[in-house]
Amino acid sequence: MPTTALERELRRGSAEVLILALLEDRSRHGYEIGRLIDQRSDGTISFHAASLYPMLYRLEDRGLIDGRWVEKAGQRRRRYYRLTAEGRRVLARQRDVWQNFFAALSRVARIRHA
Amino acid sequence: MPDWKRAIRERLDAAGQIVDDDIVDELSQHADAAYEAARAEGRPAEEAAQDVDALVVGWCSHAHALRRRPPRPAAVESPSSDETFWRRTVLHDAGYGFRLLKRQPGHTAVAILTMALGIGATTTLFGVADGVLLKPLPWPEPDRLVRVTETRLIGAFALFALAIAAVGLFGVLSYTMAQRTREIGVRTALGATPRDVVILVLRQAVTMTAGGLTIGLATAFGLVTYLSSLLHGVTAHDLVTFVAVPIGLTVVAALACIVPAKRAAQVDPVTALRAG
Repeated sequence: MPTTALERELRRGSAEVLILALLEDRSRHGYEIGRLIDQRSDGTISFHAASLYPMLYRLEDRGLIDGRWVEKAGQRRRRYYRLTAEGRRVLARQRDVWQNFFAALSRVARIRHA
Repeated sequence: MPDWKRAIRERLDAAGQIVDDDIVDELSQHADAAYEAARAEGRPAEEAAQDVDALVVGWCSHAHALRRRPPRPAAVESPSSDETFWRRTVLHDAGYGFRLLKRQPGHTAVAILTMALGIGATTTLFGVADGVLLKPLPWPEPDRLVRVTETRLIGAFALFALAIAAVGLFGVLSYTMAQRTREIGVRTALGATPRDVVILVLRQAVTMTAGGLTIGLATAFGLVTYLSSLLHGVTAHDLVTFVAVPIGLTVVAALACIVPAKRAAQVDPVTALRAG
């Protein structure tokens, strides 16, 4: 798939809100986050795995998510990420920003969103 | 299934990148999961391995970004703990709280007197209320004998005094904390955790409350002794009043401390240092 500069920028800009939103209801591990973004966007937004983990670590450094090793019987230990209280606040703010942005886009450029 | 952990390690080493073991572990799990998913879709093993290998190459070329910031170590080591629990915590806390208060004698005096006033008044009024209203009189059918109309009034006064004690303690602690913002900022910058700061605040609060309780109870004892000569049923040796009221007030004091303590714990070191 040829990647235009616009697509690249959009992906970079939306990565944060996507990851935070996926962790809103439950904690997930890295592979699951990448797969869900890919699946739920029907492949439109697919994170390169190379940028997924640096992104997760940056969010963790900023205290928005919290990664923990979890061991379950009969399974390898896995690193699960969960949303922190600060992450929840940032997610709410970013949702507003995107909402306004989409509304403005649809008014100006006649781009509809569901 | 190929050993992805070893493959990742080898590629990182070849690229001269040093990456945390934890991170290699996490990436190899991702590789395992991706490989399994590809196999589950019915792709041949070789193809699946190639895909995952491309993934690994991608990670290794971005290895510089695969870093978690190490947790910041405390700049000041906490003292070694070969002392006993009692000496280390309780006595030390009392001593430190006392030294803090000694630095601002006027302020401390006002604070302790406010509390003493509240505690003294509360204890006295509860003592009177207990003696006059709650205990039955030593006659049969005492309700036909006397009618007390001030029931609510005395109770209201007692609650009012309790409120004064609580508000006084709250105000004094908030003010003290506002003055110590800079100091708390320095402590946080040197590695004090929010828990340390809360303990610091509680320490001071406990010392003040102890002072207020001592003076307040002594005053109340004197007052109740005087009143017992005027009112029937009021005695200065009323255990309920002199035990229950201080306990209740200590609880109120603890509640009054929580807000300033939490606020102090959230002081941002940068803001605090600039403001000072």
